[in-house]
Amino acid sequence: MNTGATISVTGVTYIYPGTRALDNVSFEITRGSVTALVGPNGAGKTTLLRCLAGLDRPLTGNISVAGIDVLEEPRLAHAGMGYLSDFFGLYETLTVRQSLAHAASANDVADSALAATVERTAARLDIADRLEQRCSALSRGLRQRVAIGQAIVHAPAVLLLDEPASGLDPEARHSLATLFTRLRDEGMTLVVSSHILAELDEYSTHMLVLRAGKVVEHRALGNTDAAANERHVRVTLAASQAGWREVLETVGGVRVIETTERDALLSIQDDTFEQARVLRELIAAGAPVTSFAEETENLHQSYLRTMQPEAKP
Amino acid sequence: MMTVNPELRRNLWLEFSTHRMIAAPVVIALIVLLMLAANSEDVLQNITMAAAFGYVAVVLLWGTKLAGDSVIEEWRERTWDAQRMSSITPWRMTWGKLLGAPSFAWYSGGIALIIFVLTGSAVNFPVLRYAALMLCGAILLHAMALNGSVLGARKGMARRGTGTMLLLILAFAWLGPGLHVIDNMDKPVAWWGVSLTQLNFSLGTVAAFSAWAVLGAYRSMCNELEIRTTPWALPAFMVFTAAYLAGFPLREIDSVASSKAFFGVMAMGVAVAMVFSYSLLFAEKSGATEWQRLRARVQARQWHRALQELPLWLVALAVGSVMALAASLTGGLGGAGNGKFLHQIGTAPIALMLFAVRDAAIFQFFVLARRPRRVEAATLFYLILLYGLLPGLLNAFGADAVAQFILPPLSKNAMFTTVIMAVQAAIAIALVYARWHKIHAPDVV
Repeated sequence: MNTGATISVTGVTYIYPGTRALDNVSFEITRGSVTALVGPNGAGKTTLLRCLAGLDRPLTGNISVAGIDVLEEPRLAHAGMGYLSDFFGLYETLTVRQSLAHAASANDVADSALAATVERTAARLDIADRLEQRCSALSRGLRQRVAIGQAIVHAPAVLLLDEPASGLDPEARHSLATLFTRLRDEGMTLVVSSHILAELDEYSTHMLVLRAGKVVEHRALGNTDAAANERHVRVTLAASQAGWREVLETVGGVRVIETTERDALLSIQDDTFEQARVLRELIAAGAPVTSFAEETENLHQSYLRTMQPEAKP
Repeated sequence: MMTVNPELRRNLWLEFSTHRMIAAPVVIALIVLLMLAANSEDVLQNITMAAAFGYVAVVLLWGTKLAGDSVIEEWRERTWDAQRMSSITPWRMTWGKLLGAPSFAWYSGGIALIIFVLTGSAVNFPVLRYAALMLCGAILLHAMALNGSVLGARKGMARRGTGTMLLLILAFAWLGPGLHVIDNMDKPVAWWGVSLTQLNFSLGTVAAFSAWAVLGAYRSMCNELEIRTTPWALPAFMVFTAAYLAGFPLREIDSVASSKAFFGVMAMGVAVAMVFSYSLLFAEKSGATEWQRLRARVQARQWHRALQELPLWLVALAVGSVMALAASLTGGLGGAGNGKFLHQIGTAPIALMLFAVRDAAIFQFFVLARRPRRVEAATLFYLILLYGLLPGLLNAFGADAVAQFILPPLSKNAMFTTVIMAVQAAIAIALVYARWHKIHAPDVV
């Protein structure tokens, strides 16, 4: 079934002896999104990425990337995909230029376009001045860039990255985040597995949480509500007010998510005029509002909120 | 538009440098000059032999090692995933590695081969046929090494040297008969009622098997690159090998369409199947996951896909069983009547295959453990116990009657052996099934 999603996963189960690494996993990822694939160690993140990449074959299920059935036509699907493994290797005695040229050529870039493709990719990754260096002479950060360059040299529609920032210093991580943001803005779909949630927060648009091989949550970030046309707004009062909860109930068009004596988290339609109306009505009802601000939840908060209920005995 | 094979080009980048390109011909030229300077009576013949020796050392031995390392080294260096993710087709990957990995060996050995042809022609030596034999021999060994490398990578063999050692043993195994040919090149070889010179026969043999080896490497590469294949090539190769080998005992046969010829091929096929079953059993990646995948296809009635999921050792076992049945039937009917080998074999071929079935079941019993470890070593231990220690010990204590229930005497009573081995195979299969049912069946969706 073609739903227009760039990545479509249906009923994927992968079993290692004695362990269900993936248990009937299903989800869809839309074009141009960056999905943070998160979960505890052993949740099945790497197995899922390898299945998406067509490197490992699941026991059951279907995987489609850019409309191509990965399990039936893996070589065809690879033309539109890039993948960076968590433990990648480089051809140590090749130069950066040769490494990128091989990756491009191996992914059907014509010989006549090789030189230009290599130059363009190197410029994109800020390694144009390293093209004649052997890979063995590169630092960890530069090696990571070359590996990412090899994965994107053929301009794939989908890029799968497994722990791309591990072992990098803060500066290298930041420039990696900038690169991923740029790729996202160019329309590439990224799925990034990482333990460094703060770094994922910089560029992720969606979060896919895996635990014990199951999808626990999959949603857009920046808004904790399932409905895309709503925004969360936190209202804070100057002081506790008796009957504050009753006041909130009199205001139409809002859904109260949580309240305390001095504040409330409301879900309001994604319309600034509607938000202005709610504020006006609250003040008119006598609420001493000192702050009325849209609240977005960062990835770390989302992740902890998702994982917390299960953590309790 | 023709494009350069990316895998070949990558290997050329890795293997060649200006220094190496100059050094190889210079060293060879210096050796030739040294031999010329010696000014002996048989200088051209000596150079011819030295060139042949150089070619064998560089292309057949060193080149085989390089081809054997080509995939497993990438697996160790963690570059293989990127190659598997590329758009390079299995065929391009196969010949790119076959020519590319030993490319420098071909370059150096190629110079030696040219010298061999030039000097050999001058001393009235059939150099072209020898050169063809040497070329085909190299392709055969390189393709076998590449095939082994793919299987090693699939199985996750990380240790250095073991594969190379095996390949060098294979190389010497090939070299032995090869050297014998040099001494007896004009002697006739009788095979399937035809007579050929040793040299021509060897050339045909090596050329045919090198073609099969390349096909095998390609099929292994298909599997490694997640291109599913239906297992037709292995049965075809087994029949070919059986027919080839049967040609030696049936050297004076009048018609290849006779029942005697059929029996010969089937009987030889059992031996071939035994070799393939055991070697593939130990070489292929095997585990509960593979069985679960096969079971899922069968449950979904996806028969073609189920065929694609079949492990090759099982295919070899199945083909061998059919051949054993055919050999027993035709042998019993007197098909072997006038043959010099395996006269009155009765059910011996079936008994032989039952040995293989039992041993494969023992292997699978360890494969299906909750946490399988050292499966090969554990299997070998029990095989040594069953084939040597236990019957030997029982015989030593005079309990011959008991010993024959563990290792039944195939040459004395084929029917008794068949019955005993059928019981042993059934017990082993039942144990495998019980373990599967207890540990892995609940995992299946």
